[in-house]
Amino acid sequence: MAIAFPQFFRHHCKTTSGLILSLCFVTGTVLAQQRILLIQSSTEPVYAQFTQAMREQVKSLKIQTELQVVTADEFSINTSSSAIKVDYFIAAGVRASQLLAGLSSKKPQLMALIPASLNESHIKTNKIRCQTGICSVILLDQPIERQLQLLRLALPQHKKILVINSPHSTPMTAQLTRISHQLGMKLNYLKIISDESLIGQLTQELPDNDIVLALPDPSIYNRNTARPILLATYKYGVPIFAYSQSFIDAGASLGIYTTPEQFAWQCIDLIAESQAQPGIHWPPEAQPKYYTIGINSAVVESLGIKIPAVQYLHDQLERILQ
Amino acid sequence: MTNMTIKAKALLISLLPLTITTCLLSAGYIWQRANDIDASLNNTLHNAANMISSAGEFDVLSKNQRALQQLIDAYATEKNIVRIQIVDKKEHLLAQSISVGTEKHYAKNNVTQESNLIIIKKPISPVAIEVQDYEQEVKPAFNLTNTPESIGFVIITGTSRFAQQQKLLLLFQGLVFTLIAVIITAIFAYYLAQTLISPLANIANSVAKIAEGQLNQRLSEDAGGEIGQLQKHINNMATALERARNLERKQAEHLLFIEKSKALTTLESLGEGVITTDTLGVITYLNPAAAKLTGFTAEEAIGNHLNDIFRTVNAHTRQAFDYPILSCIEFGTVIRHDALLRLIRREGDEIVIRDTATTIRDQQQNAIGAVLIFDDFTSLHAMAERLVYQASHDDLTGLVNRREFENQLEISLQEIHQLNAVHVLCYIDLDQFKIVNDTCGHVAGDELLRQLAHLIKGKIRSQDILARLGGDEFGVIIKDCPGDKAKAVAENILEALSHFVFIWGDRRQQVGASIGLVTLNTTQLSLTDVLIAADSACYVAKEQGRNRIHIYTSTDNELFKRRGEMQWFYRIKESLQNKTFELYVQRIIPLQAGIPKANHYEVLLRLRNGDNLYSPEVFLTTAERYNLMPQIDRWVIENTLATLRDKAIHEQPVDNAPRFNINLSGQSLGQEDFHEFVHEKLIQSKISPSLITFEITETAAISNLTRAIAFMKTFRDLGCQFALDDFGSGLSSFGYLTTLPVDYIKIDGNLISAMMTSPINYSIVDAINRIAHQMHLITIAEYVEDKMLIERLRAMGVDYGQGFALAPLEPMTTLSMTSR
Repeated sequence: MAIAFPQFFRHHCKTTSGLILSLCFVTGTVLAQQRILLIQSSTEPVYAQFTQAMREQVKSLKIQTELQVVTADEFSINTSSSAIKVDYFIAAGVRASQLLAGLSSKKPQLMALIPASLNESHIKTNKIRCQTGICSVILLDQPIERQLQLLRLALPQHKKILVINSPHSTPMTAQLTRISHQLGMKLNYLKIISDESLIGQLTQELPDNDIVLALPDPSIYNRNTARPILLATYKYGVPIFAYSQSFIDAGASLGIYTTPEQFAWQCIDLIAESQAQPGIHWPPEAQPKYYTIGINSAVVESLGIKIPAVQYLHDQLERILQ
Repeated sequence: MTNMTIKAKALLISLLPLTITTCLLSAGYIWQRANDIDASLNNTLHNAANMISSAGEFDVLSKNQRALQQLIDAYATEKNIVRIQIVDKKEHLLAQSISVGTEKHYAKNNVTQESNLIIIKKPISPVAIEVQDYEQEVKPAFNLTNTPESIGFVIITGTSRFAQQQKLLLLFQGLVFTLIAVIITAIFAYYLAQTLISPLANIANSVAKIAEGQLNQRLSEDAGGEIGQLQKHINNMATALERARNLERKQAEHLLFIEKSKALTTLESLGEGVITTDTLGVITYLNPAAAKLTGFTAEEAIGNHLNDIFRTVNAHTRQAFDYPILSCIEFGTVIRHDALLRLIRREGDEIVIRDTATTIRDQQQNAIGAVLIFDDFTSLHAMAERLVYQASHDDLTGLVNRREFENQLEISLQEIHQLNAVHVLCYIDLDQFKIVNDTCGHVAGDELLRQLAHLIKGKIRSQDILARLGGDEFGVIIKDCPGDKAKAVAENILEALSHFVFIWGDRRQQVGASIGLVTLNTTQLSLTDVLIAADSACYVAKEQGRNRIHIYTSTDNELFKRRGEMQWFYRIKESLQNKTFELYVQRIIPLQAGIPKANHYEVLLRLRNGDNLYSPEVFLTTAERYNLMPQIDRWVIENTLATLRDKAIHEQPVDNAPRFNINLSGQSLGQEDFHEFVHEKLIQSKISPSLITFEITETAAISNLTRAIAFMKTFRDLGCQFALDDFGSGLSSFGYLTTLPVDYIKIDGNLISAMMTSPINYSIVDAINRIAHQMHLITIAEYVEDKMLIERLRAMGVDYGQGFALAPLEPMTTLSMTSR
């Protein structure tokens, strides 16, 4: 079960933009057709979903806007011709973003679907960087607070939270520790030294913890390790709080994530704002604006735990985060 | 296949495909099931491996050996599983389970050494589960979970032993099923075939009986369809065949009756007696001729054994002879008797018969009886006996004649040489016989000879052989008698002759005799030697004063040589050696118109002595007396044919070539190798045999009748012709004409010469000519030395004439051989 929230909230925003655009027409301003160049890293389904959502949402812009889609490969071959008469650049994915970052253009640029940990390393290497105010990196990962708040809302009795980390997730760990302290939550950390010791270490730690909070660290949670980790936690009756819909489907008890459509909405919102108020500054780094709470009810039932309804959780979370 | 019965074929047609199909189906089923068993075994093992692999994934990762052991123990109870092992990715054993009951066995033996084991090694791989919604485009610098594809392995050792047992059971079940199916099918097919074949078998049996001749055989027309039609047609066919056979039988009976009637009529009409018997020799038929010959009627004879009716004795020995009819029937031999039989007729009188008996056989060649054919040979036998007697006896005295005497002397010589017998030849020459003959006439002379013969015969033993050798010469072979006793016998004879007084009318005449005695011994090699010795001794006795006995000594020959006859003997011998004989020819002239004009000559022999030329009449007696005729005949034949060849007669057309008559003596005909000699010379000369006619006197022919006839038949077959010479001079029996296969009759020259003056002779010649013509023989008149005779002979109808009135003698060497 996964429900995209808050729909009403998004409609509200669109209503606001539409109002602004209506005003433009009322005042007699005639705007020319604009053009968005969407560069997608590949033709993977996730990018296709993002592009499709973009196509649908671009129609809702007040200014007639054309969406042109190219792949990263196509863009790398015809960079100059592709960039002609583009009003907005949107890069979907890391590779597309890297290509876009290498383009010296004065047009607004959006770099979506960028993992937070990766962004940090790329920022350091100046590969993906937005400092001009007309460029924004939309991060893939959910804000730590959003996750911790949701965890506490959903399973208030599960106070011993285990976090498995690796050197790869060390930057996130620091932020996590800081925010958890602020929220009064105690986290146990399990640092994995080698892959062979993962399950062994995990099975030793699980009896002493109530829940595992999974960080989007691909060196720990990947397609090879997911099943043993899930089996281990299932064996010890410890639920996993996941960061993606795939993880929830695979056996995590609950989680929070942003779908490609929701990222497309976020991009369209930013462009609509830019069209409405030319010269508006975009934040260099943006958290996912929209999110989805997911619960694997079968797993939850199997583990014998009780989690409030999604709608309730969403409402409560929105209230807390405001 | 073609010899198979319909039943067998039907069974084969129904059973073979079904059996093949059943076998194939069973084989396919067994094959499929065996594969299923194999697949099931594989599936079991693989499923176990998969299950363990999946279930053990976590425990392998966590190295939870206890959990793994529990896991595989559960699976190890499977009977097809021998052992389960779980090892980590470095092949370190994590858990092992060996199935119950095999632990000890596999503890002792290495599991992998078993031949029926299946080892499956299944990797334990973590199941990949996607947990990222978005692509991880950039790999993290630190890859904690560089997890290999396999984290361990499940090794399952299975056994195919039970699968094989299952397969064997399956195979057995399949075979049993197939067998049962085939048996059931066979029973069913047999029943069907029986149902189908039964009417056909009945038809086949009936047809076979019809084929064997049981034409009254009929089929019950109870079947329908084609078989019913077949039954009906076969019945119709049998009916038609029966009618045809009955008709044929009637016709055959009719024909048989006709043939039997013909045969019976023929048998009834035959001149020969015909008697048939059954296999026991019992008479079943007797034709009228046989009834006449035996004296028994058919009614009397039929039912009696042959030997009761046909009683015979040997014609010569008069020994009773049981006719061997049973032997003829038993051994299938044809009976002919060399010795003639005498049939004792019902009344007790006898006839001489010739007989032949043969087995009668049926169609299967089984003897069913015998047929005896015989005829009356009495008169012919008597004639033959008379001829034989005449040929060997002197008509006047009834004594053995010279020819027979020489035969007996030859036998005696052989006995001397072979048996060391002692015989003496006594040669008697009457001294005063000529006086009696001259003074009292021939009749008196003849009577004297008869009386003297009787007298001498009374002085010798029965085993001694007395013969009249010539006019007044007698010879006695004193058998098995030493010289002194023989001399006594001779003296006894001489004394009897000395005292004998011949009374003829009022005349009284004494006769004496000169006797030569020769003791036969081994130094005398030939008959001629003995005869010369006897002649010499007799001559010496005469020279010494007559009426005495002289015993032969070697010096006698010198004296004897001076005697005229002996002079001729030596002249002949000399002529044969020096070839001083000469050949002349005299033409034989046709007297009647229409006779072919081809030249026809008689070859005549002459002996030259200085300027004198002697005819055979001069030396013929000597030559015959001393057995020189065969040499002379051979000389004549050889030289005649050589001369003809020199004159290239063989190159002339046969029709126009001249023909030549060559005389043969009785002595030559009696020689065994004479046939071969003549045949060889004829072939060497290349002269056509049809140009040669051999002349044989009736005396010569009769003296060696059997050989003469054989010779004549042989050379007539080759084309030669034969003439009976001097016919009418000798025995004067026309009976010979029926016996001897001659072409010409040469009428005796003395009869011809006298016919002008003697009506009797004329009549005799005329009779001879007529009879010869009746017998389709050609007549030749000899000694035609008077022109008047020619016309008489021509008027009489004689075909040819020969004599100086018609043609002179010509030397053969100068004769022109061209046709005239």
